[in-house]
Amino acid sequence: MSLLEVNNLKVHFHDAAPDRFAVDGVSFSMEEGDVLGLVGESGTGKTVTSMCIGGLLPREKADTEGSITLDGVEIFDCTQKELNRILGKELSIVFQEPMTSFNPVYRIGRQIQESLYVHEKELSADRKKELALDAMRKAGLPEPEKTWRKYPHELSGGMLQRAMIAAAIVTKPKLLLADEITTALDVSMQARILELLRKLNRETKMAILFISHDLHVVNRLCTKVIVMQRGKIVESGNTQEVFANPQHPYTKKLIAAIPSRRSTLRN
Amino acid sequence: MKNPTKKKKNRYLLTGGILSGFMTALIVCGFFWTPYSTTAMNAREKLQPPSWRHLLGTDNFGRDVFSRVMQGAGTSFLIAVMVVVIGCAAGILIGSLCGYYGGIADLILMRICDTITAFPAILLSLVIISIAGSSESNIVLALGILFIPSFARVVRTQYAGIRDLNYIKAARLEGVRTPRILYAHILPNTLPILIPALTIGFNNAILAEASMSFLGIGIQPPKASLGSMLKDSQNYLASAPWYVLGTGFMMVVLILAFSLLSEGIQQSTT
Amino acid sequence: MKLVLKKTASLIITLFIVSLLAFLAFQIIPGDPTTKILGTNASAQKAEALREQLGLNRPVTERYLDWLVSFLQGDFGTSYSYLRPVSSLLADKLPVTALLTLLSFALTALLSIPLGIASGSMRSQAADHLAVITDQIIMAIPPFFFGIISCYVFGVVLKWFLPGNYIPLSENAAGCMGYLLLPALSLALPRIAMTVRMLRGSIRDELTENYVLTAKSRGLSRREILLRHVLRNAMIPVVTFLAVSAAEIMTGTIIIEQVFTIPGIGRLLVSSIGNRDYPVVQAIVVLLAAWIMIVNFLADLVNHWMDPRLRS
Repeated sequence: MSLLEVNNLKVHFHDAAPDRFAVDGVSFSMEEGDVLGLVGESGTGKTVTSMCIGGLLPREKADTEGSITLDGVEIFDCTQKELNRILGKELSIVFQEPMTSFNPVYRIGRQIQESLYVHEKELSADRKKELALDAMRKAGLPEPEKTWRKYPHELSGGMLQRAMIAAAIVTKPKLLLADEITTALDVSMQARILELLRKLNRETKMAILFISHDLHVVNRLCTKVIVMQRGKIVESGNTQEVFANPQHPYTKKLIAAIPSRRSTLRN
Repeated sequence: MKNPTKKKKNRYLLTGGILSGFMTALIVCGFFWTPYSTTAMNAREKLQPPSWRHLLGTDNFGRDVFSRVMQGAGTSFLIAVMVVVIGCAAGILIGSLCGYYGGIADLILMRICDTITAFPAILLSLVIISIAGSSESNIVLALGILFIPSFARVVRTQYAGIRDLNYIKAARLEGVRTPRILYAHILPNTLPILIPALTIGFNNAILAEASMSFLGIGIQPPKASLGSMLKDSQNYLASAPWYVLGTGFMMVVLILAFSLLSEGIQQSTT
Repeated sequence: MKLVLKKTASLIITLFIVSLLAFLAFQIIPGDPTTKILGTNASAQKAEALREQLGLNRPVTERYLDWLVSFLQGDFGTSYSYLRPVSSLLADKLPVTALLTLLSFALTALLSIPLGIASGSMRSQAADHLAVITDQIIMAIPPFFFGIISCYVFGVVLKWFLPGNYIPLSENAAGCMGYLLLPALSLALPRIAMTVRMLRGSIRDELTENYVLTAKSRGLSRREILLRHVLRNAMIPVVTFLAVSAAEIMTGTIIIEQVFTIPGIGRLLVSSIGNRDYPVVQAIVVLLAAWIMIVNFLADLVNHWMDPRLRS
């Protein structure tokens, strides 16, 4: 049994044209410890796919079809209560905008240990804090004790994204959904976050579904890649193979769009 | 994501528009014609309950309440319009200059505006009236002055936002004179914010005038406004409840109409 | 702590400026107060003696400082029409108005916050429409008309109380509170409607923020998200609005006291304006202004406590 299995997923928004599917028959699977990249331009249904996996798509706004199983549990059959038991525990999600993903009025520490508050209620307050500080160290936050007491507006975007990752790994989830998490960051911070994800994957066997519009970043992190266009998967496979020998014209276009070192020099 | 379905109908604008149009028509009509004379007393018909002859009954002098309400609402309406015109005109002038030029004068004026708006308009107008004396023109002036800050604030914010946009810079470079830039180029862009502010201001003015007249500090008899009529009618609460209820109902509908209208305008511009 | 000191200093300066303005405003009044007290037929000598007695012959700055010092000591001057110290006039009227204001403000805060939360998190479309319409209508009804209606319904029709028959606090505390309940509610109702509407909008806005999605992704229930995350953010603008409400309610008592014939400072203010009894008007205005500024100051502090972004 795979960790994550997505089967013939279709999503239709109520306010879209009848024949326009945001996600149109997407199937893929992930094993434990996999690092899978999901690429495509914006509006190709990557984020909608990830929202479906997290059961976060508002049911009154869209119809869904197909099946998503996480660790054998069918997400679409879950009640909200059952879903809430999985979210933040088996599956953690980190979003694109670190600045707005934190609640501005609470300290960082409280928000990092929130998943423990939800899922490990029996732990003592001290133990929760200990675990959270540990996650902060793993996420590479300097001076965790000090950062603990900070408010979101007092940290930089890169630090906040690290804090977001710390909050995501505090419950040791099996799957981390990273939705464009490096997009809002500058290049050097991007590289460090990628390094951090690689390390976490190596050390904890946590699988990562990495969603990005940037093929270059995916190439540096992921072992496998899926290319999406207009809600459909147009190409998938080993990252190196896809890069070396792209089959679909869209993939070729995306690869051609990566500024190589040589072309940058020439310009 | 595109939304192909049609824009939702703006019910506020529709109801507010119809209601305020109707009220305005009724009030304007009241300036020229009322079903009965508003001053002629009729001892035989005093304190009559509402009927087809007298829609809202008659008062203690046998005068038709509906006719009096039409005229009283007219007084309130005129005062509110004048107050809003004074407040808005001065507010545009101050707000536009502050927003366009900025600087220390802007800082001080806006600080003063904020301080004035921290105090309820009725309290300040009571102070002004108690010093300057109670008369219709004093009330209009007092309320008009007190309404300046709210308009100056919104106008200033708009001007400060627009003054550095490229089309204004271009106009400046082309040598368009400043007054023209201020009132021909920028002012139309403030309308989506200014018009709801006008209707809200109008409502507040109706309410403020009514409150003051109710206290006996506003409109003096024999002239009647909604507030002074409510004050009168309160004495006949037990014997002629329709008098007070009809008058109050008229005021509530008037305020409701314009608040729905402003809500509708706000929704249609955003 | 430092911030509290700074805010306090700024409050004191503003209070000082407002007191100066209030003092100066009542200096430019046309007419001579001595004619008001003695009548127009009084002899010039008598008037002069009174001017001396009231301290009207001294320079303005000196009189202001004198006035300020005695004001701070609780001496608000002498009423022209009652010829009694203003402080003694206020002594038995201020508690009534304060009680009415507090009662009304408590009703506003205690009713509007739960209602606002309920209305902001409501998922039924029909119920939402009904709430919005009710809100709009209540907002359009001025407090004094509410007062008149409740006098008619509860006083004239149902005969639950006798309008105008105020029960003094000293005679019967429960009866007094009971009598004040309707006026307090009349004052509170439009404010409640406005606050509910504001909190509702504020909660709806906050619910679309990204941090709500983050909270959902951690498995928090809808209720937990609302109470743990959204409410504090949504309350920030509402706190400022509640301060405005407190000021409006205090001023609103002036009118509602007329409707229910409650012997508070509102009635005193209106009769004093009619009598041109300036020391009384001045004292009441300064007290009301001070109250308004103190409430705003408190709201400011609460907001700084609620929103860490304001602290830096």
